[in-house]
Formats: sequence, C-alpha cells, structure tokens
Amino acid sequence: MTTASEPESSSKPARSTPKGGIRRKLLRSHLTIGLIAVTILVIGLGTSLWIRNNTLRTLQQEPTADDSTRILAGVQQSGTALQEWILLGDPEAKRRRANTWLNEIGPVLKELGQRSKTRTTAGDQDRLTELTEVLGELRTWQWSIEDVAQAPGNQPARVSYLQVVQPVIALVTEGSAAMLRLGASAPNGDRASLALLSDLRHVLTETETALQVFLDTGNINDEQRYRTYLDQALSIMAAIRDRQSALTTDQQDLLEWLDAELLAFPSLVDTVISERREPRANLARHWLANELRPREQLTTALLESISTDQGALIQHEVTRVMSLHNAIMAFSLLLLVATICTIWIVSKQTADQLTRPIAALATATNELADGQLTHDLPVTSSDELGALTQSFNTMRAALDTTTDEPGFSPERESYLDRPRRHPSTVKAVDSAPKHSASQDHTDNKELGTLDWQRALDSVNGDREKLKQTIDRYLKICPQTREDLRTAIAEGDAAVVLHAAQAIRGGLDCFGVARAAALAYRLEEAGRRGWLESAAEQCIVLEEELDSIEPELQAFLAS
Amino acid sequence: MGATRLMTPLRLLALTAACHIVSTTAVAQPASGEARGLADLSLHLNSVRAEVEFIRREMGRPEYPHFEMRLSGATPRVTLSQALTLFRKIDRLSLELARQRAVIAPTVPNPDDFSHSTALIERVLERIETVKFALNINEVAPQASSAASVSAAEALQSMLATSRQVDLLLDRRFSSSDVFQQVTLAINYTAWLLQQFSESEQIPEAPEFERFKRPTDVYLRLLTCFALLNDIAQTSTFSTLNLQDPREGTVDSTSGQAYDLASLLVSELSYLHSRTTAGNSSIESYYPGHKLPSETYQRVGILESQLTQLLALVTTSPDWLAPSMPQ
Repeated sequence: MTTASEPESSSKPARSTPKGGIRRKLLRSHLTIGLIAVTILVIGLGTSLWIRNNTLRTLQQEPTADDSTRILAGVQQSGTALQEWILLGDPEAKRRRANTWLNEIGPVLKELGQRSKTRTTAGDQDRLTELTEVLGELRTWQWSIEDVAQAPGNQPARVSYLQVVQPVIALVTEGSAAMLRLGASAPNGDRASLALLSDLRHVLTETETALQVFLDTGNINDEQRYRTYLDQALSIMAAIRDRQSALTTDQQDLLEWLDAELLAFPSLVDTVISERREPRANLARHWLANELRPREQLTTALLESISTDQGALIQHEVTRVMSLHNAIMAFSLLLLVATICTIWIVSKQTADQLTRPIAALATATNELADGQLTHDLPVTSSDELGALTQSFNTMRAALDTTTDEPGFSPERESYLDRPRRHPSTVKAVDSAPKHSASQDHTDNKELGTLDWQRALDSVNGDREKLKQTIDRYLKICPQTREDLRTAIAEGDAAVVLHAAQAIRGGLDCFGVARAAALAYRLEEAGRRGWLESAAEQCIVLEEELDSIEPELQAFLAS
Repeated sequence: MGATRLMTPLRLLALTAACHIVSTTAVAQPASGEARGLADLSLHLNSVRAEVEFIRREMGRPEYPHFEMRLSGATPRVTLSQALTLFRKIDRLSLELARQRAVIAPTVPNPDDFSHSTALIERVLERIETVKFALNINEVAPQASSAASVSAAEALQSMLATSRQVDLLLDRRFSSSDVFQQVTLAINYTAWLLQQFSESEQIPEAPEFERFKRPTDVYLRLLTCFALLNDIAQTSTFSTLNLQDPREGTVDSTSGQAYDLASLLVSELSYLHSRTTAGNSSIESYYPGHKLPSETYQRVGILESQLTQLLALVTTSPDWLAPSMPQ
C-alpha cells in the first residue's frame, strides 16, 4: 500500500505536453544529414568551377600562340611581296604588301595587344611592347625600301652618272663631232688630227660603255677596262693637243673647251665609281640586308619566344590542372568516406536518442504488466517521450494505488491497457460496483466508498486539516465539474485534462479509488485528445462524485 | 691658265682672312657668344650675297624679287640647315659651270651655336670662288661692314634670299623632284616620331592624286605642315622656327622656295627625331626621279596626315620627348 501523498505527488508535475519535440529532433537529424550532403555538393561544385576557370584561362591563352603564327605569316607575306616589287616592279605586289599590313598583321597585333592587358607577367608585356615597336619599324622600313626600289635614287652612282658624267660625255662627243665637221669642211684640214678625233669619239664611246657595265656589275675588271679606255682617250687628246698648230682657229677654240671638259671628266667619274663601290650602291638591297632582315629576324625570334613560352605555360597549366584534379578527386573520396561515417554516427545517435526511451517504456510496460515495476522511469527529455514517460510514471503510481484497494485485481482491469482500448474500457468501469450513499462509513475498504483512515493518514491524523481539505474540494468541485462538462462539450482536450487532474487530485486524498480511476481515465483522454467517449465517462464520474459528496458533507458537519 | 688656277686658293684665303679680320673687328666690343657668332655668320653671308651678285650679273640672270618672310624662333640648327641648302645649290652651280663637286660632311643635328653654320658658309664661299674662276670673274666683293645687332631671324632671311637667288642661276633648278626628295625624308623622320606611340599609323595612306597642281600648291601645303609642326612644338613645349609667308600664295612660288621650306621642315623633324629613343636610326634621302608637282603635292599630303596624327597623339601625352636633351 502506498501513502496518500504518493498519488498526489505523481499528479503534481506539470502535465503540459511539449509539442513537436520529437518532430524537431527528427527534423534536426534529417537537416543535419542534408546539410552535410549540401556542403559536399557545394565543395564539389566550387572545385569544378575552379577547375573550369583554370582550364578556360589556359584555353584563352592558347590563341596568343595562334596570333604569333599569324603575325609571322603576315611578316613573311609582306616580305615576299616586297621582294616581288623590288625584282619585278609589279604594282600588284605593292598592293598585296599594303593589304597584308592592313588586314593581316594590324588586326592581329591589336588583338594581341588587348590580350596582353590580361597578362600578369612583366616579361610578356615587355616582349609585346618590343614586338609592337619592331613591327612598326619593320613596316616603316618596308615602305622606305618599296619607295626607293623602283626610283632612280636606288642606285646613287647611276644618278650621279646620269646627272654629272653623262652630260660631260655628251658634250665631249658633241664637241669632237663639231671639230670633225670643221676639219672636214676646211680646205687644208689636217687629216691626222681628223683621224685622232675619230679615234677619240670611238674611245669615248667605249669608255662610256665600260663605265655603264661597271655601274651594272660593280666588277673590278670592268672598272679596269674603263680606266684603260680613259687612258687611251687622254692619250689621244694629248696627241690632238700636240697637233694644235695644224688645226683651224675654230677647232682650236673647241679643243680648249674639250680639253677642259675631259680634264674634269676623270674626277667626276671617280666620284661615281666610289659611290658604286659603297655598300649603299643599291639602297633597297642595302636596307633590305641591314635594316629589314635584322628586324625580321628579331620579330621571328620574339614571336617564337612568345609562342614557346605560351606552349610551356599551357603545359604548365595543364599539369597544374591535372594535379589539382587528382588532389580534388582524392579529397572528394576522403570527403565521401567522412560523410558516410558522419551520417552513420549522426543517424545512429539520433535513432538511439529516439528509441531508447521507447524501449525503456516497452520494458517498463512489460514489467508493469507482470506487476514487477516498483519505481518511476527516469524522465530524460522534455519532448513527447518525456511526457509519455511522465504519464507512464503517473499511471504506474495510480495503478499502485488501485491495486492497494480491496477487490482490485490486475487481471480484472489493466490501467495501462484501458486508455488504449478506449472507449470500450468504459464498460469495464461501469461493471465495477457502484458506491451507495447508504453504505456504512466503516466499510471503508470497499471500492467506491471513502477510506477515512487513509484520508486521515494523508493529513497525519489531523481532522481539522482534513475538514479544510474537504471544504476546499467541495468549494471548487462544482465549478471544476462544470468546466469539465463544458470542455467535453466544446472538445477542449486541454481543459478536460486539467479539470480531470484537479478532480483526481482531490479524490486521491480521500482514497476513493474508483472515482480517482475514472478521473484518471478522463485525464488521459484529455491528454491524448480522445474525447469521443469522454461525455459518457464524465457522466459515470459525476455519478460517483454525487455519491461521495454527501459523505464528505456529513464528515464536514460532524 | 695654270697661273689663273693658282690664284683661286690664294683669293679664297684672302677672302676668308678678310672676313675673319672684319668679324673680329666687328665684335671688338663686349658681346655675348651667340651675338658674336651671329655677327660672324652675318659677315660671311654678306660676302656670299655680294659674290652671288657678281655671278648673277656675269650670267645675265634676273634678280630675285625681294620679299621677307615672317620669321621667329630661328635657332643654330635652322641656320645650319639653311646653310646646307645654300651649299647644295652652290655646289650644283659649281658642277654646272666648273665641273666640280664637293663632298659634304654630315652636319651636327642640334648645334649649340652658329659656328657650324659659319663654317658651312665658308665652304659655300669656296664653291663660289670655283664658279667665279670658271666664269673668269675677277671682281672681289668689298669688305662687308659689321652687322653688330643682327638677329638669327635676319641671318636666316639673308640665307633664304641668297638661296633663292642661286636657284635662279642654275640651269638645272631645284625642281619638284628635289622637293619630293626632302618631303620623303621628312616623312621618314615623322614615321620614326610616330613610332613612339604604339597606337599610331607610321605611314598613312597617300591622299588621292590631284592633277594640275603647281609648285605654289606644294609650297602652301608645306606651310600647313609647318603650322602643324608649330602646334606640336607648342604642345610639347620645345621651341621651333615660326614661319609665315605674308604673300599667302598670292604670288606663284617656285619649287626652289618649296625646297627651302621642305629642308627647314626636315631640319626641325630631324631635331625632334634626335630627341626620341629612335634617334639613332639612319635616315637617308634618295633621288626619286622626275616628279610632277602633283606627285609632290600628294606626298606632302602623307606628311600632313602624319603631322596631324602626331599632333593628336602629342596632345594626349605632351611629355613624349626626352626631357634631358638640350633644346
């Protein structure tokens, strides 16, 4: 037999059922697993994006190599067109060269310049700047060579020859012809002088031819041939001068003039010869060899260097991306294993947390069913399971009280089962013997009657205190019963629970087991929200209460 | 004949000595180095003008009509350039009349005083003596009076006037081809200047060929180029020759005048070229063959386009020239 205070204490803890505790736990568990999965997904996506960007950057750099090749091809094309212009003077070649710069090299160079802005290394920038400068110089020199190639000034020696030497030769030839004419027309003309003049004209023609050949070839033998003819011309001139007295006056005037011209002739020709000997004798070729070729070579070297570096850079990038990819693969595998472990641990812990109290309750229920449970289950959580445990403890306490009462047997009514079998359990309660107001007070062990001894024990034998308790109970009871009825009518489970709890709390003190059990059943119905048969249960309870209240009134009046 | 030939160096020596004595006397009073150099140059130029006048009268050629250009900012490099032009013309006269040519040593790109110009004018006097000898001119120019307060602009005016007079003495005058040659040289210099700017087009497309152009048109287009160069100079804060022709094309200009102007342009562009990083690149002139004024006009169009481009580029980066170089 338990003390009167035990059921009271078991009913004291707050019965407010936490809402959504397990749901929250389950939600948290699932969200945790989901979060881990999302984190892995985000890491995977981030890594993929990073690799993608790296690969794109590598691919974007690749066209630089293509640009280099295009520029190189353009430079070679323009060089070939220039050569054609120099050799053939074909205007089409001139147009082709201009178009190559306009449509091929220019745009590619511009593109390359724009790409260079995205480069990070100073070396690349310097090389591109140098390349731009060299290409600019190359273009200017190509233009100059093109301009001079077909101009007379391309061969300065020939220009000097035409402007300086040829007029002298023409004058000397013309002068000697005039002298011949004068000698032939003179009645006593000196035949020997005429022959010499004729020889002079012939030798002068040979001299001019030899000089022209030398200007063409630059060959020292041709120069020597010119000098031989010149010596001959000067010798002939000296011979004519020796026969000056045999000439007419007009011929003598002409001879003096011819002599002066021929005297100046060698020095003028020497200037031309020295110009022909110079490396600049052909300006186009000279500039081609000394200005253009080195720049073409430099351009090629720069472009090749850019291409090679680009290739190396791409290779480096590919290697880097590959190693990154491998590292990420390894990391992903590791992450996968870690995730599986984490999910397993989290799931297991959550499952344990959730099932442990249920398992304990199941075990306790079995023990209770066997009548072996003598202690409360520990309440380890504040969720629905905690509330269930709490309720289980209360039920166990109530069962203890009931089983202590005479005539009660666990086989006849299992309090644990009754709420689950609701509402059929009402019949079981109905079948219990009703309390009769006419029954004797002394028969206080019978179910439905007041157990005054137990009631007095609960207040340590203090009758006055018991009276006060009864008085308090009787004062609140009508209102509580009214609340209970209203709540049942309105389907308000919470108020049903509280009203039933309040009634049961009072009844526990008076040792009225049947009424307390009925109140407990209503209490459970309110807790679970099963109010379908609460009205019937309430009627039964009220009947019980109606039957015990006169006794209480009588005790109060005694 | 031989005795006459011997006379030439002696007369030259006497003339040079006379010039030297007069210039020394003229600058006896304290004067700055530049003023002394200018006075010396002016004395030599006076001699040249007097000697050329003897030759002109002997040859029976017309006198060049006097006019003065508006000049300012003449520097030693400009006078040197014009002295070189004068030398080329006198040398051509010497070839035509005396069958003698002279070799010219390369000039200093940016002389710091007028002594280089004076030295070149002395060579001009040598050439004149050769011509005078060929023409049997025995007169000697009277001792030139000192021109104490002569300015660089006045010296340049004198050179330009003499140069134009010499042009009238030539059988083969300075023609459109010669102007073409100078303009091509100017284009090359400007291309190298444009090379300083990566976004530039060094040799722009030639403008459309226009027929029936005269040397006056070429001259006026060259004046436009000079105006552009002045704008470039103003933007880049360096001094250059300021030149304006008051006639503004109302009177026909000759190719010789255009040549003088073109050579002045070349001189200024050559100076600019020497102040850039490309200053070491070799630029040579070459005879282009016979050229019509229209062809030369077209070529000056390329130069004009280049200078317009250069002005635009210089406006955005006025510090494009090496700052440490003296102006």
